[in-house]
Amino acid sequence: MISHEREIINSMSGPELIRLAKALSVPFTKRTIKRSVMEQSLYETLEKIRKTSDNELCELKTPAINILEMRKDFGRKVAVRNLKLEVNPGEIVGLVGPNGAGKTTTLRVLTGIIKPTNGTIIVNGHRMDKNPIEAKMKIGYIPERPTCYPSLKVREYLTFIARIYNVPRVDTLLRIREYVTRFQLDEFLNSYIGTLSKGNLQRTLLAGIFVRAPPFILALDEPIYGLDPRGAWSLKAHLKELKKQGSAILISTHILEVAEALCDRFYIMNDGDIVGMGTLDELKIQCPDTRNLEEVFLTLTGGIPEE
Amino acid sequence: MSDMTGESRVVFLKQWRNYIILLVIILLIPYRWALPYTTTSTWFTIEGLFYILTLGDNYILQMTPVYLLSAINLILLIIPSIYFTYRKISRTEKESIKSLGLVTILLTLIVLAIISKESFISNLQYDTAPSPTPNLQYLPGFSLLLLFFTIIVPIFTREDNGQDQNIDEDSTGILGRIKEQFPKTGEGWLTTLLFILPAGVTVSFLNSGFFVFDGNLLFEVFGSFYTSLFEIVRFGQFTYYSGSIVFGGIVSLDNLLGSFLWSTLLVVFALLYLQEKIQRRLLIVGGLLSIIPHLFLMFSSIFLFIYGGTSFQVYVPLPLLQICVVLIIRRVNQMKGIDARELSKRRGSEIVKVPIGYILTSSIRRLSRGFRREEKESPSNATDTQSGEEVNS
Repeated sequence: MISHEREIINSMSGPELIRLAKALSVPFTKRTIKRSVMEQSLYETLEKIRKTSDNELCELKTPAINILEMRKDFGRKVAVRNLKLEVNPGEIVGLVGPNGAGKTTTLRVLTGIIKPTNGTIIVNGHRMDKNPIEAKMKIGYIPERPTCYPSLKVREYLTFIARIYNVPRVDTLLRIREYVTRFQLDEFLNSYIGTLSKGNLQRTLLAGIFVRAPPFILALDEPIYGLDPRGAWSLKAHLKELKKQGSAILISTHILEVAEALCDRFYIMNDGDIVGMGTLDELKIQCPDTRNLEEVFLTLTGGIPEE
Repeated sequence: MSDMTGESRVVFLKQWRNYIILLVIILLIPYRWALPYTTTSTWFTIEGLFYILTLGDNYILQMTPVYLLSAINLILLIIPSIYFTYRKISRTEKESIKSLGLVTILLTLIVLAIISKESFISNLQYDTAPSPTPNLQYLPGFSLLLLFFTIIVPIFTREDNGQDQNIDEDSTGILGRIKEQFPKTGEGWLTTLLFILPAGVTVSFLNSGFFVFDGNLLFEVFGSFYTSLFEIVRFGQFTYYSGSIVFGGIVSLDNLLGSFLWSTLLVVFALLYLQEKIQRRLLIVGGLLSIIPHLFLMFSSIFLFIYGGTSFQVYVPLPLLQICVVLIIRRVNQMKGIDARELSKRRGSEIVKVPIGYILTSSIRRLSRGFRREEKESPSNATDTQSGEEVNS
């Protein structure tokens, strides 16, 4: 972790180093300072802080996401019917299904944006209906249609998110630099969010999620859609890293190649029902004569159309 | 292709369409000009991998004929790569394609060796000297390009995550140390292949004419030097005849290697430069090294002209191919989010200017710490304040 933070410090700009010096209370009384000297000083101070503080990552509860018998009606229309879903730490689970299957509704209920008609949502041991703040503090959500505060600049938004999630100032600065680099947001740091393209807005929201302390519980609705190949590549690589670190990730997508490459287990939805669940191998057993997720998906959601 | 889904088939066909367009463009890119001087006529040639374009006295374009055999050769060489792409698309991103790639590279080299041998023998009846005719010389270069685009770059872009997993592995022993040298980026892997692959391609091409120890290269180079020495001893001086034999060997060497082995050298230097592992000066050295064969050819030609020849040629290397390869590597770097120049741009100057407000705050903080230290007069507190000590530039 420390060497990783050293790399982040090395990649910071001059003003960012000054901000970090302020956050670490490292005094500098000369007008000009060699960058390497400043980096070393900041690094040593950070190392001392990390050694003295209890720096162990907190672990997520198992299951990190637990949806029990959830039903959601919109008037007479049943959007999701008796859904049971679990995501454990260190697992990426794919929620796949055709348009209108109920994927987005499931994620919106999971993140507490809308209430379920019936059922219980538990995030890291906190019930969404009883302890919504604790549950929402832990979950990160990327909606299908990203929206955000248009009159905030990217840097302001990231700092704002860090503050409302009580992220220490030093960690905020380090994580902003890390994720701004990872999602190639450097040139947009001082741009207003309202002026960003869809892809860059998506990247900004992703950076906002990761400003908080890992491990994460994530609900991502079509996260790859809208990103260019480079952004998609970065995100996929990062999700794999997070999985190794013990994060629990639920991805809703209908890009089956992405789901197959990333996810350990799948829930296949159709018309508000779960029509298939398990690992790819288990699904292949459920659907004989299928060779990949695409064929399993087609079989379970109306059959493979004839060519 | 029966187990390929409709979407995969479209991806497969699109990839191959792109590869073929790319290969055709690169085969058409000229890599050097040959500007001859003769006492009787003026003409020059533009040389690509697949052709030699001659602009004659009356500026009539002549192109070295490309035989049907050449087209068949290309198709045979492409087959292993087509199979590789097909298998790659059928596999998920989690499945490794490295060993498959290695097998495909070996298969392509074997095909190259077989093709070269057959074509070489068939060409002997037309030539008195046992050297490949021009229509064969594009084969190593073409194979190298093919393997680079269809196998190395796809493996490299696809398998980066797998390489990351090895960072924390045991770094003792020779293999461990090699791994340490090339952490994270995996570019070392590519660099190594850039060295090995041209060598493999060249060796499989060279040793195709005869048995290994009686290879075309050995025969041409050492045979010509030996004959030349014999001539010098016989006549007591260096003549046009003995010189032409020596330089004939050099020309054969260049014909066989093409500029590819040397171009690769420049690519490696450029790669190291992009990673900020070498300075610009070394990059220039790499660039100069890559044009050595052209300079060698040029001087040998001029030398023979001085010794009674009727013409000489000036070879001007065109580094378009090198630029293409460097651009591709940069693109790969960008895909991986490693752009050293971007980093250096963000880091800005090596001197950081501290705002005056912060200098004042720091001074006040320092003073107050000094007062506190005096008040307490406790030596044990001295160590605590060291962390906040000013750093002198």
